[in-house]
Amino acid sequence: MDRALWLLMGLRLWGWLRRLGRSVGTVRGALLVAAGALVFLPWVVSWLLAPTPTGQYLAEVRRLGPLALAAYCLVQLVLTTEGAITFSAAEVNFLFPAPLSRRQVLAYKVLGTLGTSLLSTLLLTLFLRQYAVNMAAAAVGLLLAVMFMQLFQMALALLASSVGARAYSRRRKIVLAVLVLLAAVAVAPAVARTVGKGGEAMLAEVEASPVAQAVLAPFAWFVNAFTAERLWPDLVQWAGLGLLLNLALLVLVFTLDAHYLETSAAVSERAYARLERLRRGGPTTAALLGWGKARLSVPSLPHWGGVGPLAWRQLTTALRAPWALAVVVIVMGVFLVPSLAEGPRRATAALDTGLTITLFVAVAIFVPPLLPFDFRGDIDRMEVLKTLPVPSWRLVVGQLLTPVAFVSGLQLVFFGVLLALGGRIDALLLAGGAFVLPINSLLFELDNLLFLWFPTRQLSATPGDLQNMGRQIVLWMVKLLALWLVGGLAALAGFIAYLVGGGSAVAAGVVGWVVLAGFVVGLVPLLALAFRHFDVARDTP
Amino acid sequence: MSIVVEDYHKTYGDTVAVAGITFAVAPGEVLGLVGPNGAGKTTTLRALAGILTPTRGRLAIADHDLAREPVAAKAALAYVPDDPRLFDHLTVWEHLRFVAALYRTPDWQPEAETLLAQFELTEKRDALTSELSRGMRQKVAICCGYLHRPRAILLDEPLTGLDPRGIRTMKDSVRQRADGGAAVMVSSHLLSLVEDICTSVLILHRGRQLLHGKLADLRREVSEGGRQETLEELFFRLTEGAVRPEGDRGKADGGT
Repeated sequence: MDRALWLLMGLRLWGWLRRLGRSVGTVRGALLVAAGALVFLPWVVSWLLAPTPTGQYLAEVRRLGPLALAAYCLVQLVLTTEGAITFSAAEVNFLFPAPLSRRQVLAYKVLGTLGTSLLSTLLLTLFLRQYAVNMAAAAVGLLLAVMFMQLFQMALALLASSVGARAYSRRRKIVLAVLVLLAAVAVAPAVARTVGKGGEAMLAEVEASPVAQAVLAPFAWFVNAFTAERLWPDLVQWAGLGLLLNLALLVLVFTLDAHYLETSAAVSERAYARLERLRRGGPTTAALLGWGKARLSVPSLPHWGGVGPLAWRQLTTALRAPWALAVVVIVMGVFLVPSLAEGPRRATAALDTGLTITLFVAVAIFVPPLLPFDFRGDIDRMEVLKTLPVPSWRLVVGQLLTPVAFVSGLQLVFFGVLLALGGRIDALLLAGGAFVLPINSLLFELDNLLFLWFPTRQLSATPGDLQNMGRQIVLWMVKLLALWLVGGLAALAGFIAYLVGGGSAVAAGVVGWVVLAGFVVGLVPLLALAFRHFDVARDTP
Repeated sequence: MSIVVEDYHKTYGDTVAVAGITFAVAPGEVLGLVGPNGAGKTTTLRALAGILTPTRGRLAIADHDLAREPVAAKAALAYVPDDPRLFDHLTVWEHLRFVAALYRTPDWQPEAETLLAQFELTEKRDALTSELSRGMRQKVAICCGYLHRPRAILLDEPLTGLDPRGIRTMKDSVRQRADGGAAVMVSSHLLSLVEDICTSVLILHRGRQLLHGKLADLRREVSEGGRQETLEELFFRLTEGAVRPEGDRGKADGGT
């Protein structure tokens, strides 16, 4: 590899360390790192010091490990439709027009990829050490397996760009069809012998067939290295075989290097655009990249003093990110499964209580990051928002209306389903439905308030970034504290109303609702103030 | 010739990005590459930089064929894209150090210092590029491009983000490099810039070569009813009026 590329690797590593060091140099940075370290480091130390028994489930690991690796390769083969090795935008700018051969650039990429996988391998070794017998063997086996997976992915990508995306897609389908056919022929006798004996027996029979043994053998080398009991001959033998396989893949990668630059440049450009979107609005807005056409449109909302157009814009964006909405529906739907399993007219009060709480908890934890259709997704549009002829408080309402309305609507549907399943008028579910709007408003208000006070881009973290971990922990703690405080005050007010009203649950609910709604309304001016104080020059991360 | 393009075609499936263009840029010449959006300007520059592979045709830099001798061709080349992306975690000086190593430039430090001073970056020498403004990052990319004294320079919208001082420095630097024997290609939508610093112009439209020639000759020979046209008038007449293949225009193409 060219010495300039070694220099670049060194400079980038040094630059990364320097940036971490600089960020720790500020009071806020140091505090955030401390918060991150307080949570992360004890976790790692407890892992290291815990008297975890080694060699657990050795037989299962040796049996299922090769299957998992084979499944990974199969998934890669199925999913890799437009293969390309991606480079960063700066790498494309500097390395592609530079006097370097394609192989030199490829070697840089391969080495860089394998180098960055070292840290993840180390963490993975700690995490999986109880399944191995020897720590050194576990580390070597995992490293070789990770290398294999990355080289396999690269080889597929280069194969795709070598033969062209269309031709690759056609040939891939043929190869897949042949593989499926061969697999069917190979396992048919084993399946026939075990009909009626259950899936476990069938899988064991298939695994024992000579074809499966032959196919899984290379994958087993990595797993055997991972679970090796002695360095010699076990580890040396299996790791040596794994290394040979990786070297063969490496040779394949370097022989497939023709004409990958153009595809890589195009794919890297798209990846960069995706990253930019991630930086702007998180994974949800990044998913919009695949939706080049405006497939869904929303009729204009009334003006409502400026609230309407703002809400319309966020609503349109949300509807064009169907993946995000689908994930929200799935996340919330998961919590309905126990009730659905109970069947109609069998839902119990206890189950309803649990579901009502979990629906709200699920929304609080999982949903806000998935629906950044408010200030959080507009981090690069704050300048535009500030120029709009709309009073700040109305702007806040317009910005937050879409996620609150969507989640509330969805929760109301779920509560309706639960009521229908129960076959009776359940007071708790009705109350849950009534509280949907104020609770969701409060959740999104708090998220946005914290964002406006401590603006941060989603997914701007790098591996091992303790400062980002610390920031997330602190923000979570503040959010939970605020929720407990407001919820506690509403509950207290409701309890007092319950006592004063002579044990009236309705009075308690109404007072609690009014208190919550008061906080929701009261937070709007605070959000408006935070928005007005947001300095785009200073606060945009 | 420092830059040679012969019958260059670039297609993506059924889409024709560039449909057979031919031109050359001599040492000391500054060629302005102009055309509406989607004309094929950036595609041509990226092909000359070795990033895109031509569907057909021959490209050469400093007498080295890009397909056969890519490393030798690229060693004589500098390419500054329209939106230069730098390594966020590296300082300005580290970028120059890396580029010097990349192009095997001996004793690069004095030249780097000169470039930093010329582009008013001396104070930013140890700043991370992620901390720089858009214009400053553009200047860093230009310094990186100039450091190894390339014989062929490709600049895609080089004035984007530059302040008035930066624009003047940029224009002066282009003239200096051309005077020093470099062949320069400048792609820009700013026709005034092209008129100001270019000695010749190539107008592309929908991947086709509409016009190529010395600016002075073009003004004299391709004019409306004998009236001297500005480049802007010429541009709009050609790209928005009846488009004829360049071969039909005969003498207008006197450049290559």
